[in-house]
Amino acid sequence: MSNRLLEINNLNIAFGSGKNVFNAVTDLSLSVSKGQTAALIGESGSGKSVTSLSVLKILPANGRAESGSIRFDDKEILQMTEKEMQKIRGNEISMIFQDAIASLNPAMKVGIQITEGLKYHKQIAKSELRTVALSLLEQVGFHNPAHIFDQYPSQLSGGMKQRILIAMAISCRPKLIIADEPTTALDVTIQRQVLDLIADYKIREDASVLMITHDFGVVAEYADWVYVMFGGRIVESGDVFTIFNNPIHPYTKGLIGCIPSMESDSERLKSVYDYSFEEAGYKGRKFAPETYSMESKVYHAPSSLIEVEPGHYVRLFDENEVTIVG
Amino acid sequence: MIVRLLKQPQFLIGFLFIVSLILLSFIYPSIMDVQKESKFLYDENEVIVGVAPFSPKDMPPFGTDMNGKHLLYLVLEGAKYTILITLVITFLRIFFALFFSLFHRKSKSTFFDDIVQATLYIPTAILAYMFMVPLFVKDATEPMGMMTLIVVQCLILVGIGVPPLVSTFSEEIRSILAKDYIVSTFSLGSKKPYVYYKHVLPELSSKLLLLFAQQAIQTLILLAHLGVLAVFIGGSKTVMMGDIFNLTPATISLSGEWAGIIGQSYQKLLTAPWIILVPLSFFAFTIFSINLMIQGIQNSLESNKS
Ligand SMILES: Nc1ncnc2c1ncn2[C@@H]1O[C@H](COP(=O)(O)OP(=O)(O)OP(=O)(O)O)[C@@H](O)[C@H]1O
Ligand SMILES: [Mg+2]
Repeated sequence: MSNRLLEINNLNIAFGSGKNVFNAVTDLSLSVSKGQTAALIGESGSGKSVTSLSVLKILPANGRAESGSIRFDDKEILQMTEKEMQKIRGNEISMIFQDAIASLNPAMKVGIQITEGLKYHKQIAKSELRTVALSLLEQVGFHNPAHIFDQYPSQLSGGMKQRILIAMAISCRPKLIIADEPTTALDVTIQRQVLDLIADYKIREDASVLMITHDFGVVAEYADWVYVMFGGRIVESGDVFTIFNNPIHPYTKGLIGCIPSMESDSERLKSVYDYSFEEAGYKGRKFAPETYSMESKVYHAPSSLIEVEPGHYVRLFDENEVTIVG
Repeated sequence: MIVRLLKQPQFLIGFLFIVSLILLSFIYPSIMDVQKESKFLYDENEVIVGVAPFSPKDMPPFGTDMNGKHLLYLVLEGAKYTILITLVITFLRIFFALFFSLFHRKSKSTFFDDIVQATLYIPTAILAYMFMVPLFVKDATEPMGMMTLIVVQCLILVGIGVPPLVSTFSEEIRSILAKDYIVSTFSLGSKKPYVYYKHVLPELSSKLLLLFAQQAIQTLILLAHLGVLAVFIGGSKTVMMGDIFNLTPATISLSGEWAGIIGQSYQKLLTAPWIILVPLSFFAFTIFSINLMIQGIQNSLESNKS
């Protein structure tokens, strides 16, 4: 039995068909160890959400995992039937979505929505569902759960809704929580509260978390392992200390540089783009992909992840394909 | 929902008009002094001074048709058939369309959609006419009885309304299924039937009432058009009319619905316009009432959201 709870290998995800095929995720490998938090970080549109949806096999109808493998608890998810997946969703892997407002049915009491997962997975009497829901609400920090139970989503604030989503996600005590930018829509003070709730659950249940974010500050505080994603590929990965102390890929450096620091006296915040092309390469090989903006061309020569030190990988173009000019 | 609807004045007015029309249609013989026919008009000396049709001025409130039948009673008599047939057709259209779109959603056939799109440009009255004419031919050779005829006709009227509705519903369901909270419940392990029952149908049902009203209007208009084309629900028979010197064949609607009244007197549009205008304005008022109800429904849906 390996220590890895979730292991994704060489995953490719595509949308559309025929001429309109669009590869959203290319050759992605990542793993989440038991009891740990792995962070998947990258800019908007880099394929983070798509990756997480594919773990639960709930990609939109026009998308599909074309090749690769997703192993959870040593079972291949891509081979599972819909029925087997229904047993895993919510019960062993659950998801906290990016947009709390849209992720709750506006016409249904939040208390009822919390118990949806329980109804499928646990043998709980109808009369007891409410009690369980109330205790879940209390776990996510509501002081008056009985009142909240009967509210509709529109009657709650953004942070409250996000906590409802967390209550839904932890209701069946899953082994893995995928949190897809759970705090993007929240203001800074509440971000902490929400992230701490997830971290608490992780420690309490010895669960694992796949944290999706575009905020390196969050990564520094909560993650054990980091995967930096760009344009549908992992461009750098390693444990959190290595990545912070010795980032190699310019895109990673850019993301880390975006965290404002007290000592820095530069006049404006640096953006990722300030780091583009700053460095020629690493040990004679160019960093892949070539540009860091989704709008401009991404150079698609063959590239691979190279282990630059134990456990620290960086994506570089394959040696013979590209020679560094100048 | 219902309580909130009844608080909408527009909805209430429309609703009351239609309900009282139906009620009157059933009970008018017992509460009104019914003299259904006046073929001739006599003066004090019992001398005939006029022959039907009479204008509303001579025979208030609405005048009579060529046979001296009072239009008021014709219209009242026809109201129940017209409105009930409309309701039944509308209900069946929605029911079948919902059934097909819920259980036949997997085959997201664009081919079907294309065909439906194409037929949307053919006036439904013509479509219905094309289907009904063979029916009358058959009925003329081997009569099938009025009830059977009505049922078959209604089925045709239901049938031509279902495909466009199926594509409306499928579209609607697809857009609901694409919502984030559906993905969210699926991510908790929900099964399809549950999601349809608990999330999709409730969301659809608020729209259902609206669609029902819109379909009812379409059906009424379709009935009126068919009347003009002399296609009567319940069939027709041809009789000889006029005086002995001037016999003309005329078709008469067997059930009393409004379209029939219009259709059988269509040739009289110029000489006795009220025969057409009275049932036509009843069509118009009914449609107007339904429109009022739609307004009310929309208002209450709006206030529901906020
Ligand atoms: N249903 C879809 N059809 C076609 N393309 C899609 C679909 N969903 C996502 N994509 C594409 O997949 C790519 C990755 O999208 P994804 O939602 O995973 O980005 P993300 O990294 O989560 O971004 P964000 O930080 O904004 O949430 C995008 O380029 C997007 O256009
Ligand atoms: Mg996303």
